[in-house]
Amino acid sequence: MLRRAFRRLASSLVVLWGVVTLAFVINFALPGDPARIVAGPQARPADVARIRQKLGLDRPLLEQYGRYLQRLIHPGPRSPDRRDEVHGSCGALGPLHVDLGVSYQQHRPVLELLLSRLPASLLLAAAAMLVQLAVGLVTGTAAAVRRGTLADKGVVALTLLGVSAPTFLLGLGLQYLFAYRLRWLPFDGYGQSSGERLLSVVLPALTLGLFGAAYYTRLVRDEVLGQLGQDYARTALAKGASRLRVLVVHVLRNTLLPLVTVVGLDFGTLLGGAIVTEKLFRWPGLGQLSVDAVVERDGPVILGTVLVASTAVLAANLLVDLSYALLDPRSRGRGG
Amino acid sequence: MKSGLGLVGVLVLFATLGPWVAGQDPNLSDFVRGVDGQGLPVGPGAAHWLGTDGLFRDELARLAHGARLSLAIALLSTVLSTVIGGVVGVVSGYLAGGRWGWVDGLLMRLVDVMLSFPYLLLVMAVGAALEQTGPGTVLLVLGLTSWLGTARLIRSKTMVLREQGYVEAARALGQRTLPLLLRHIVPGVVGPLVVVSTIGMASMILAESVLSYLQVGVQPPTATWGRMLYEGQHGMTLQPRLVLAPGVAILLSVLGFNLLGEGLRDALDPRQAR
Amino acid sequence: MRRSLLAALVLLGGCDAALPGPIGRAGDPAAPPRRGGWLRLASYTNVRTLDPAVAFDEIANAIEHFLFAKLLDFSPDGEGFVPDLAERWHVSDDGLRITFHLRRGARFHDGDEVQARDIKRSLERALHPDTPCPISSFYERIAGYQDYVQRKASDIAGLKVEGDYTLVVELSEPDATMLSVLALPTAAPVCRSAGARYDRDFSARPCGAGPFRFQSWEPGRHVRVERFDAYHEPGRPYLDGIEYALGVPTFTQRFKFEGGQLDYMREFGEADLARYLASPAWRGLGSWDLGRAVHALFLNNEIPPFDQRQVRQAVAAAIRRDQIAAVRPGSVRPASRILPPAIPGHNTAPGQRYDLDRALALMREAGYPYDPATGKGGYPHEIPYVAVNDSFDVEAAQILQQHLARIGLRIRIRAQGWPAYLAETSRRRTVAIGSDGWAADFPDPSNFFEPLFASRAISEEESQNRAFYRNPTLDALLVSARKETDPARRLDLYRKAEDMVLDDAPWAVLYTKRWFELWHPYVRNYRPNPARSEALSFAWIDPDARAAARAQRWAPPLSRGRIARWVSGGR
Repeated sequence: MLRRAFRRLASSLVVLWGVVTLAFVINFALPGDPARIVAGPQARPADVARIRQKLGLDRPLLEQYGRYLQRLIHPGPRSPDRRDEVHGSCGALGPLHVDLGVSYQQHRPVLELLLSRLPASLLLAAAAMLVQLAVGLVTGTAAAVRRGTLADKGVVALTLLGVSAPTFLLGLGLQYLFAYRLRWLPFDGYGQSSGERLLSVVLPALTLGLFGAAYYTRLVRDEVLGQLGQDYARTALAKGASRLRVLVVHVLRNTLLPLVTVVGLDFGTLLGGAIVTEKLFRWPGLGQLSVDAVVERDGPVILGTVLVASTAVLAANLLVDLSYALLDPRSRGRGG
Repeated sequence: MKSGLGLVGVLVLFATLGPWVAGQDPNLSDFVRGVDGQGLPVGPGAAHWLGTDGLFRDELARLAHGARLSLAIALLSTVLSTVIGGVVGVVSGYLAGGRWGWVDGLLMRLVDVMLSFPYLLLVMAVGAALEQTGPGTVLLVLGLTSWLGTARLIRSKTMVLREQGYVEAARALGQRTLPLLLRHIVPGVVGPLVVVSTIGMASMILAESVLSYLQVGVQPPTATWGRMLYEGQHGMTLQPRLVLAPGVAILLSVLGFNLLGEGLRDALDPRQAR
Repeated sequence: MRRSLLAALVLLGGCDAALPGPIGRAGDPAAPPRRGGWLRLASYTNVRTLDPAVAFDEIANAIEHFLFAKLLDFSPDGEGFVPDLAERWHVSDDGLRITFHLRRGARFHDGDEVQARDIKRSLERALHPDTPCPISSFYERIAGYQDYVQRKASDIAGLKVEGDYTLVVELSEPDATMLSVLALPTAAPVCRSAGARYDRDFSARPCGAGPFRFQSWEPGRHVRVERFDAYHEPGRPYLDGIEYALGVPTFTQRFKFEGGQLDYMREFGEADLARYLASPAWRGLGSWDLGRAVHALFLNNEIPPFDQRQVRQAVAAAIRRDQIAAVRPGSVRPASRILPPAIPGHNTAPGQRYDLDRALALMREAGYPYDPATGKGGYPHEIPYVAVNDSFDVEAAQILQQHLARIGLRIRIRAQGWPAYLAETSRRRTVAIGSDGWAADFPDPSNFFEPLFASRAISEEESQNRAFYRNPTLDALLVSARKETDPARRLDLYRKAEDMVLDDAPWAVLYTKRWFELWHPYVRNYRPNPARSEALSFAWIDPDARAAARAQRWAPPLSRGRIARWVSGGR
């Protein structure tokens, strides 16, 4: 078990290194000169050159790559020079320190920026997950129990419609109806107080969540149908257990395991990948940060957001994989 | 299945005949009959059946030309992604565990890296790096970034096929690798590939619209549904129809391909039918 | 199911609720100012830094004008300057010496007196080679600037402190823009605690000598500034403070403004703007700013076919500027000259004019005759046109494309992100045609001509002169204008320069953009400053009008009964 965990961890780290390298290459291949963007359109060549040198962008690419990796994880704290525009504050991981550099545009350490965006992303991911789980479990189970009825067919059709709707179409519709026409909820943005925030998260969470809900509904329906067809459920029913009891005690419990897997993976994706929804609702999360960074050629921030998003996905994968191994003894022997 | 086929049929019909029926230049602004008394784009009427868009161009003509392009991009990028995914999957699955296993390992790590990379960021970045010149680049971007799932599926399918008795026998008889793959493995993976690519069409139509929404899609003034949706968003509160028209078009065609894909899956693999 | 579908359709098609009217009525303009109250503003953007040495975006600038006093400020009537920390100043006859006499007793927010050496220290802090100041070279004509940025000198020799209250700025050559750039927040004195060198942390606790002192900044939420009681103009400012909410979406701003939770607003969505302008209740309130930015397309003078003057002139004559403006009525105005209305020297006479026949004739002269009837002829190749994504440029380009097709020039639009646009268009012999524009850094014509059309703004990689336009006569004219100390004669020289450029057509001028500023009538004594938006430091609030109005408002904008009626289709 422990060996397996180590092997998975090592392989994840290799993948992470690949991600950083890919991000570095993409970042370099993007057109445009970051120093020029920092300096702005009114800057004259001398100003641009000075800023380029300050950001270390005048060095050869391989040297920049080496420096980035070296700085990314290094032992012991480096004396933080406040005037240095390249080094950011460090986050500590035991004896190792993590330094993601300083944003070209915002003049703040990337780690600090990421941490400041994390609550918004977590809130949105959690709310969206709540929507898709609640809707998925209820409608999926209902449809399975009422299999073949008009209601079931309706649910199946609706879920197909749900996975077919572009995210932003759904989002635009919700904005128009609930924010613009009815004014029940904020149109977009994050809100100033925590109360406003809870209201603000509703529409983006629905936008993200309804898409997932359609998918979860199908998943739950199929899974419940499968379980209902199993011998143990039939036996329990034959023995005279009530339908509700069978459903709740046996069937749903067995449905949860595959669901947990999907939820874990999805949460990782949601955390870093809600780009369209965040843009549409001007939600100040990690997705928005990464899009802005690409638009502004803010290299350290691009790399930072990619790292966070990939780490979230890989960590979710790892956890799901390991918990599977724990829960399901049969899979222990097999490699992955 | 039937309704899916119907929807897709209507879509193809609209894409082929629509531009001709609409009869107007989709890129021409009509500052005379396309503007209403308040200076806004006109609504549906005789001169413009579906009204005009924010630049006073005929909405129906744009919708029809957009259908053509959106569909073509989706089709070609799906073909591209299916071919890449199929080849990588078969090669990887066939070599896995053997003397050439490291090729499989390398390919699968590549898949891992790309899968854990934020997809939209990858697409945006590739789009921006290719300097996004036209529909060709868009379909390239889509095709090159979407073969990962297919590859994984086909790989596992191939690994199963490889262990089948007739394949082992052929190998024992000394049949060379390429003919063996073509004769025994490829026919076995065609079924799943067809299903995956039909559903892939649906996600390509969605992805194209997302790209246009994120400004890395086809260049203006060329109409695609995604671009139209993006452009309609600005005046949404005044003229919701400009969002509704392309939005419904996308919704229906994605739905059509999804229905068709599910129908095909059930037909090809009856065990999974629910 | 059917009923709810119907309800949804009714909701989608139903007409708008009427716009609530303004709060309070305009008072007697001669009424004495009243003290107290917080003014509330909002923007959808975010503040990145509040350090005046490095910030250069609009919203940070607006807040910096609250926090920092400058030597002098742009006059609200659009011409010349008004005193701020400097009581008076004197420019020597040769234009090489500017002497500032500082007012006595002006204080920083932390209590120190503002003295001449603080101004020298703050400027040296901003211009130091280690400070990422984006506009450092605006100050390059201060004597000793070059030695300082090349680290050959430890201070700027041309900044001379003569006693506590006199600062002399010596120039290496006459520069009529020096007063303007000294009025920018970049040159504003910062507290002694900020030290002599730039430090990232200063932005978290900015300290200056402005009418308001820093209270708090929560990134992404708000910046609060409160009245500085020891401000050097007695009795001012009147407000207790200003709260600037950040990251507030435009729709939310509108709803809050209607509800009286915002006092001032200028970031309108297009549709909302149209509604306010059409609403009888708001007639006569608010004001358009004059427009500080001009938008155009550049024609690269080094790339065919635009190396031919006739082709450039044909482009300028083929464009119907009214049709571009028709796409955004209100905020976009057709423009035919380079200097926008808010800039001294703006000329109201028409410049480049639409004349299709002339354009076709010019194309013929250039050797590319085009027959509009058959569509034959014209320039044989398709030309890529570069525009910036997510901006009105892209829409304008699609209209232009149709105009240019009518004289036989086929362009293909390449909408790009800002970074790619900037990199490509400023590289030599790379982009033949594309959108261009300029927003004034300070209200002076030189800020348009020197970067955009002077040959010294051409370089291989980082040209600001994207048209790569080279005209020795213009260069000479610009040099003499820079050295001219008489304002009227100087503006005349720029008028001549403008006519020259318009005729040579390295640019086809397209439109100007302007903002609409709107505030509730209980906000008094606000006069929009042509040099910047939100110059609200010395506004005051009529507390009675605001309170009375607040009491009668604050019902939810849509009552449940009304929704019920809508849903049941009774409307």
